[in-house]
Amino acid sequence: MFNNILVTGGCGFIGSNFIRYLLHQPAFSGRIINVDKLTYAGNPENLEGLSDCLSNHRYVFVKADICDQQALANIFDTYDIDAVCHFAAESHVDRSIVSPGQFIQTNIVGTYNLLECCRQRMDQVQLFHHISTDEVFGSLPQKGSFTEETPYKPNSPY
Amino acid sequence: MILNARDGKSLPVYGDGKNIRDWLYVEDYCEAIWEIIKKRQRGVTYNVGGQNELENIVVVQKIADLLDEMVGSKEGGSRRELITMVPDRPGHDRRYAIDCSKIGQELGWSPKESFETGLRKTVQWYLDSEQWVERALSKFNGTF
Repeated sequence: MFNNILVTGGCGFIGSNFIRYLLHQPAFSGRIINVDKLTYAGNPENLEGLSDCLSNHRYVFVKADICDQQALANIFDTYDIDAVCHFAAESHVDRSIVSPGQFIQTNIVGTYNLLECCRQRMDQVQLFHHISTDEVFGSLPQKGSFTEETPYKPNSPY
Repeated sequence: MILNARDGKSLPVYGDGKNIRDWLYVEDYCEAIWEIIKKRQRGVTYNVGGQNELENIVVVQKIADLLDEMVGSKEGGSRRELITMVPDRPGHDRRYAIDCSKIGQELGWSPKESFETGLRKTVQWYLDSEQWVERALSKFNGTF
């Protein structure tokens, strides 16, 4: 199993729940490195009460922006990252319509930066898991459902 | 919505309230992610859903009813009376529905919580987490 999982956006709603869940899985004995920019959507208090894990050095928080290539490279090397679970994203649809720039940076360039870090360390990084959203598929009529093969047809920059 | 219902404040619902989303309890989603990661597959995609399609207005009604039950109804009235329709937002997709049969067949994953049990756990968390709530609200000056 993986020894050092990088979780991006780990202070958000799903990311923080995932970290909490994973640290309680008997099958996982490794370490989680949580990288979060702490925008309005991130709250470090979501991960309060993990002190047992903190004392075992199983959880590390690094405040960083995935758009910062140098910071990411340092994190991959310092913590010997062997898997990535990528939650970090700007996700507020209204904001993406009014000002898409930050969404392009974080969601596209940030993801590219993470992939580059992995590509430059092919022997070290074993897995890149990217979390997405059903919003990529656009809207459905009253019937039908999205499958993994449904073409992407989003209705917002998000 | 839960906090507004708790405090007897307005419960705003976009448009006609009939936009449909597929609801999934967050711990079930975490389990799905972990099941996928454990398989170490590359280049594979999974849709994860709860097979709980509900209109927004129905979700808000259920929240109102749960708060009535869990903290007592407001001065005898139902919290459903707090529901207020507001103008729709831009880019508000009408309906999402996820076919999650692939992850069920290949990894044996299915959600453990129903919409009702998951929502009840969520509301209970907010009621139990007063300190977290107050600090989060003060960060946003009371509004998101």
